[in-house]
Formats: sequence, C-alpha cells, structure tokens
Amino acid sequence: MAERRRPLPVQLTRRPRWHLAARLRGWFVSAPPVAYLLVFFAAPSLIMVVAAFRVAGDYGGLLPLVDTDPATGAMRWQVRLDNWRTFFTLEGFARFFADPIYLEVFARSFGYAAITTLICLALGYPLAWMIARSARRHREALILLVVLPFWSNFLIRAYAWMILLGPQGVLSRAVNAALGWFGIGPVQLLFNTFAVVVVLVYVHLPFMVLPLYANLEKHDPALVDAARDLNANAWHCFWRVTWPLSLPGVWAGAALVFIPALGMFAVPDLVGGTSSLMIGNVIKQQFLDSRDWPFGSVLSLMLTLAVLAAAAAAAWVARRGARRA
Amino acid sequence: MTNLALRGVVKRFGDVLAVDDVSLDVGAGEFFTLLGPSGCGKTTLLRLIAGLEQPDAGAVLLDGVDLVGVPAEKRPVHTVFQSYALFPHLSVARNIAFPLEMARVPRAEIERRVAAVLDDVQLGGLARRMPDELSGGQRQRVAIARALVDRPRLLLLDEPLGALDAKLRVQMKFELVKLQREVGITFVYVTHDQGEALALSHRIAVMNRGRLEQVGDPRTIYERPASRFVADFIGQCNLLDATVRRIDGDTMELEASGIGVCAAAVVAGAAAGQRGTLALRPEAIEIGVPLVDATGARVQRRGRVRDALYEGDVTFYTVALDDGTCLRAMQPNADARRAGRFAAGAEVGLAWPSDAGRFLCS
Repeated sequence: MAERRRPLPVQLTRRPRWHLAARLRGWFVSAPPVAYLLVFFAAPSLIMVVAAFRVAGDYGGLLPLVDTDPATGAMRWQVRLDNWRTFFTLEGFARFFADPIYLEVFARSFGYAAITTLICLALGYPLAWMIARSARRHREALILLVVLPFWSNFLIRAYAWMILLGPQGVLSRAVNAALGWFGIGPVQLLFNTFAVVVVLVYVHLPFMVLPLYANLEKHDPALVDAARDLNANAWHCFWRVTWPLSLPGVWAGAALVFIPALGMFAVPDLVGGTSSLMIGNVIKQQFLDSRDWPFGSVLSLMLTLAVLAAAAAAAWVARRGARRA
Repeated sequence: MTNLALRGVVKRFGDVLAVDDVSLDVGAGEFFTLLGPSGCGKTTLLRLIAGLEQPDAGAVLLDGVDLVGVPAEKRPVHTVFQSYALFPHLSVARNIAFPLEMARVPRAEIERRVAAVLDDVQLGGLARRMPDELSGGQRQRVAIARALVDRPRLLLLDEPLGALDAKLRVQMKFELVKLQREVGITFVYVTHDQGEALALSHRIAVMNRGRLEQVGDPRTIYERPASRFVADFIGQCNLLDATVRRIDGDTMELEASGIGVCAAAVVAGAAAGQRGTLALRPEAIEIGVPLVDATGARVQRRGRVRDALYEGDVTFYTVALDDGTCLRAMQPNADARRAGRFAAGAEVGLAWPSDAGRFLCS
C-alpha cells in the first residue's frame, strides 16, 4: 500500500520491464549449466532408472517399446493398458534381493572403497600437509609431481603394477626374500584382494591429495602459533586446530576417492582374483557379457542409491560434528 | 622487581639480522611497549619471548629462569596476535577455554573461569557465538580474554589495535590501560604507532634495524630523544644539522643550519666542535609573533608560510626561512584567535625558547 502512494510514476512504469530484462538475463546466465546438467546428468540417469524397470529383449538389450515395420519403417507404440506388464517389471529388483551374492559383492565393494579411502587419507594427508608447508616456490612443482601419473594411460600404469607385483617382480621377490628369513612360504602378491587395494590406492591418491592441499594451503599459520602459545603441544595443535579445519578437504577427498573406487571394474579385472570381484565388474558383465541391460540398470541404480545414502550419512555426521564444536 | 629480562638476544633469518644483541628489563606489572617501524624486529622479539622462535644467542629470563629451549606451550606467556588468530571452528567460550583444556583444568573449573573472564571483557552474552559472527572489537576482546584466562605471567600483544577503526582504537586504548591495571599482569606491547605507545605505556623501547635505540618512559622518549632516529620517529620533529660551539655549565651554544646560533641543554657525550643534529618540536615554535628585539631567552626568525595543514585541533605550518631552511610549526587552533591564521605566502614571525631544541650527537 505504502508503495503505491509514492508519487514515482517513472519507476512504476519502468519497473516491470526491468524485472523482465533481469529475469531474461538470469536465464541466459543459468541456461548453459542447466542444459549441460540435463544432457549429461539428468537424461542418462533417467534412462538408467527407466531401463531398470524394463524387460530384456530376446537378443539382449531392452525389449523395444515401439514396433518398426521393416518394409515401411513406420513405427507403432506397443505398450497399452492391458499389456504393459510385458514391457515393465520389478523382476530385476526381486533378483537383486533374492540372491545374496549381489549384496555380498556390494558389501565387498564398499569395503574395498572404504579401505582405499582410509589408506589414501593416511598417505595423502601428510603429503598434502608437507606440500602446503613447503616453500611457496616449490609448491607448484610438487603438486605437478602429484598429478604427473595422469599424463600416462591408466591401463599402462595398471600393467606396470602387474609387473611390480607379479611373481618375478622386484617387489614380490623382495617381500618373499624377507619373509623367507622368518620361514614363511612364498606369498602371491598379484591376483588377489591385496593387489586390488594397492592399485586402487595408487590410482586414487591424487584425488585425495589435491583437495586436501587446497584446504591446508589456505590455513592461517597464526592459528597454529596461537595454539602453541596457548599451551597446546604438537599433537593438540594438529588434532584440535589443523584437523578440524581441514575436515572440508577431508570430506571432499574422501568423496572423490570413495565414489570412483566403489564403481571401479578395470582394477579388479586386471589385478584381482576370482574372489575380489567388485560391483563394477558385475555391472559390466550384465551390460557387455550377459547383455541383460535391465538387470545391469538395476545394479547401477542400487549403486547410485547406496552412494547417495552414504553421502547423506556422511553429511549428517559432519553436521553433527560441526554443531558439537 | 624484574619480570622479564632479555640478555644479548640475537636472531638471524638467513642473512638478515632481525634482532641484534638486545638486552632489556621489564618490571613486574609494567606496561612495556616495543615501538618501531615495520621490519625493525619488534615482532620477532615478541615471538622470541613467546617461544615461537628460538634465539641464536642470548637469554630470555622470566622471573630469573632462562626460557631459551623451553617450547612455547610450556611458557607461562600468552600472545594476542595481530590477526587475533581466533580458532574459527570453535565458539567464543571454547576459544577461551582452549588454554585451560590444554592444561587439563577440570571442566567445572574451566566453565567458571571462562564465565568470569567473559564478564571481565564485557562479552557475557556472546559465549556461544562463532568468531565470524563477531565485530572486530569483540574479536579482539575474545583474543585478550583467551590469553588472560589462565593468568599468564606475561601478556604479549602484537599490534592488537591495528585492525580496528580510529574511533574504536581510542576506546580500546582506554580499556587496555584499565584492564592492565586491573589484572596486574605485565604487558609487552608491540606497535608501530607512536601515539599508542606514548598513550599506553609505562616505558617504551624504540627499535630500529633489530637494535634498541632508546628505552625510557614516554616523556623522556618524546622530550629527550637519544638519537636522530628516535626524534624523527616519535612525533614530528625539525631536524637541523648543528655544531657545538662551546659548552657553558649546563647549557651549550650551537650553530645550527638555517637558524644560526642557539642554545640547548648539555647532553652526555657532547663536546665543543662536535657535529650533530638539533631536534626542535613543531609545538615549541610559536608562529605569528611580532618581531621585536630578540632576548636571550627566545630565538626569533622571520619566514614565509609554504603550506598550512588544518587538522581540526591544530594546524601544521611549513615555514621557509630566509636561507631556504624549512621549519615545521604547530599551532593549536584554540590559539589561532590570538595569533591569527596564516595562508600560504604570508610573512610570519617565528619564536621559540632558546633552550627548546635538543642536541643529538647522532
């Protein structure tokens, strides 16, 4: 009401146009990222979700929903109210929960990913801390060394590990020689869980180091000085000041390691044994070997849901921790 | 009673001599200020006392016990940092509790003492706030409360007023003086602001290039600077090259460039024929005086106003004497009614007591 009584006709006439222009400009700014997300994230996810409820075709893939006349090329929609059960089913989900093997693979994958994340954190944190504390002119070179492995192909690096861990490899021989002293028989380093975790850690370590470094590098050195000055020994300086302030970097690094590690199939394929299959391998089998796309989609969907649940749980824990402090 | 004593303290960073053979004594309950330009080593000296750096030579004695080699966390000395260095992830109360928690004080005792110190710095209602929800002045109080809560034997303050606006700074000066009197803990205060140093301190040590130039109470530092550097750094000062003509009891006759023969009190180490500097404070120079015959007690000169800077309470004039020497004179604006204001170009008479200047050997 007060607005209307104000004698400002110029503003009144101009205002709506201004609003429209602002809104249009807003759309211009946000349209490219929205389009990007739609094309590369929302649409594929939706396709996967729908596929999880569909029925496999006679020769693999998905049972087509439209019938194409081979002579004319005319397409006819097949699904009707009375026959939709032929095309859509919950069978895949039933199969997932019926056979414990899938849940077992899920659990194993989560375990591998969790161990990988913890080892990456244990190795990456000191490294990121030392780089962040080194002389400013050396930092860029050190970070470059961290990302240097990305310059060569992932498969090449995985094969390199196969050579290192293989029975004739340097590492394998050294370990077995050392164990021999204690009378322990030769151990196999390749094609087992150990090899899978080693290579998973190796592949994902930079993803842990980079966000941790980005966080630690911004810490005000005066805070650690203040902690020391206020009776805190070296351990308390770390545990009460540096560590809680680095938690955003820890969470970011953990997410960047845990999620890709969880879906990894190439590493278990190359260096794993028969008992170290991960969920990624099973999904790959469904799509490429069994050609059972609906069940592959079910597994993918369950994996996505599990990751979301894990992320929600982590966020909840982090928020609770922040509130407590 | 001496609380803190430094004996021949030396600290090098690479080739740079940050602290060069510094010795001084700070009495118990004293408000002691280290004053100097940036890079003079005053903050390094503070960090040496805190234990955040270790000296290359010399001793840091607290109540007679040498602290060299004792790590910072074991020293009963706390610091208020320039940036305050509040822990951003901890509430006000947890920040203040930090040194007590580290010292394993029982929880109930911690709560009691945190509440008490919050009252002391008038932050009672803000215990649960986070540091980024506080104003600059409140943050500073938290930093002081956190450093005082376990009653250190020495409180170090590193330019604590630097980040505050001018108005708040004046208020905090009064509060710091009051707080120091109430808690009775020795304060060692670092600043580059001579106004703060003069207003707050019992004694001041002026530092330059890692060395102590002069240690004394504010009046001595201001009125009887020991060196050209101190005279120049503290307040405004006219510095004129001068030669001692003769020494006559407790006064001496000088020949100063621009103003000619004048008198000054005898200073230690001065001898006839010695060249040095005559320091003359702008407020000692009266402007706009009628030029009558000079008496022995006053020096009079004629000059032309170059610039006038009106600063509200006072006006600063730059006056060029006949031979081109420029003198700076300060006139309280309350006096301007009597003597008048002068614009650039005006011809004025200057006068000052003949013993107003101080001869500096360096």
